[in-house]
Amino acid sequence: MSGISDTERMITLKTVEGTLFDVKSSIAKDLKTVQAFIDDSDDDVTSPIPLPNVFTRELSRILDYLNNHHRFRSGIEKADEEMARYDAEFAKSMSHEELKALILAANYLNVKDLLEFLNQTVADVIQNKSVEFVRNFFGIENDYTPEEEEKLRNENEWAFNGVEQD
Amino acid sequence: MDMDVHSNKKNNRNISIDDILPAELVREILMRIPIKNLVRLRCVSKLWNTLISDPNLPKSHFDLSLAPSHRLLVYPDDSTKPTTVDLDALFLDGPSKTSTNVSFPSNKENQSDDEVYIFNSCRGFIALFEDPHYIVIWNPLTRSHRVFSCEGYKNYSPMRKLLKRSAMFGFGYDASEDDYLVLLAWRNTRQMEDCLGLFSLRTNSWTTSKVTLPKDPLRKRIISLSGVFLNGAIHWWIAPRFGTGIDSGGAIILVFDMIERRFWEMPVPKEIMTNYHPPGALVELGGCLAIWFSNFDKKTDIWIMKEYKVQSSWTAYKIPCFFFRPLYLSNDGDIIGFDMLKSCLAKYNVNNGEMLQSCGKFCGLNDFCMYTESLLALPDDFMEDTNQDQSGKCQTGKRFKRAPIWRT
Repeated sequence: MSGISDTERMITLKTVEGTLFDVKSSIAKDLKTVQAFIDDSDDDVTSPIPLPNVFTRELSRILDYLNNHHRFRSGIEKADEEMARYDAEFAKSMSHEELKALILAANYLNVKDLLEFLNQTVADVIQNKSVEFVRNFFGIENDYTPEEEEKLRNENEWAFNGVEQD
Repeated sequence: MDMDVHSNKKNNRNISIDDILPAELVREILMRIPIKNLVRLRCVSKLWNTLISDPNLPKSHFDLSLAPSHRLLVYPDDSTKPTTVDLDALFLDGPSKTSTNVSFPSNKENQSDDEVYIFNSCRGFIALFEDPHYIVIWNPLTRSHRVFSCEGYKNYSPMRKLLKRSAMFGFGYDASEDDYLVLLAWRNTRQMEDCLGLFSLRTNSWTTSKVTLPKDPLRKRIISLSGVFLNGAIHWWIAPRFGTGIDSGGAIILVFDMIERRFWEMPVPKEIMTNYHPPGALVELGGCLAIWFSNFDKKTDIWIMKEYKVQSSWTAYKIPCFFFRPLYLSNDGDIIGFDMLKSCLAKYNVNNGEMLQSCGKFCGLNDFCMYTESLLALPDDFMEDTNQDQSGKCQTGKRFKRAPIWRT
């Protein structure tokens, strides 16, 4: 052991595109998948950890989120408001496509708090939208025949009032 | 890297499996969507229909209460149709946008709404009584319902006794058996004993037994029309009849434990016991049991038991409004209730003591009850040949014709 304290240790992560990110081990702890990899390794991890399912754009966003949240939590009392403002901006700054990609990455890396936040964000986006919008958003193909779908809509007709325009 | 993977053109057949969110993630998102929007999303795809219709989702959704709704089923005096009102939205949007007309599930061809009485609700189900002797358990959201009769008790006229407040009605959930129970208790005057009838929705049968109720409520006291279901038990407010003065013992809260299937008495705060008050009523506020009554000082007193069964946790609030009938605690901690003199809803801010009124009037309340929406289904495993519809889970529109079994 080299005697360096945990908080100073840096972990290197490599995205699909080959970009390298140096991450403090205290932040890496929030990436539970990465932490599990580190814990499972017998020796100290020195070479970059490859993340075959994570793109640069997503990892960069995730680290940005984590770094900011760590900063807010260790700071002064007013942090709650700042954090809420940051979260709102963070959610707004992404297109729906980017939001989806980020959820997949956060899920793969098992970043619990971010994932909950993103799930809530998506829930808020889709809750009043039409069925077609939701299909589009998730890239889901409609596997109902027109007759089946007609029947289902009729049974639940009362639930279709008050839906936002796409 | 091929960035096309990130684009989501509708006709793009090259969507990789990685672009589609796995079912567990979809489920996590669905849990955060208010129930009223969830039903519509069944049409998205067959997988989504399965996820939303899976009985475990409504249970987790309900138990987690991530987005509980507060609705009021109202059956006004002026013979307009019964409606349900989204109370959370009422203060923002006004009544016309938040009320929906409904029809009670009917047992007869020409059932008039006059013959329907609303009792209470539990986990999104509402208990109704339809003349002459039918009890209906109804989920207004999924429209599913179950009808059964209490005809076997008609010699004891339980309904007439209920309306005279000398019988008890209760509807609750037994978590240990995942069963819903309907309770009727009345006095058999000939044999001078108290009887208890319990109907289980799981076994679809009544069980009758003799009971001894503490403080003899069925003879001497006024009973709240239907109990309040909370923490796995049904609670009734039992107070001495007008004109009898203070009975020895005063008012009590009678409790029926759904799991142990027994009655016990919960003491009422001393401060209420020692002074004479107009008879009060019980209500559930924010998961706590509460007693309210309009007082002679033209205000309404509300006592909330902040910790269940802890006597010292009863906390008093004085609402600056005469005849304020509390309905529920909002997500922000305000007490929302019905201002019976002004016929409108009002909100009391517990921190600064301010009252706020909603616009729009309710033309008097006849029958009503509060409920939370749920997609839960009633237990149906007693049915031998279940007609499996597409989802196979809900009992939409099924009228149950088999006569219930009587056991003594």
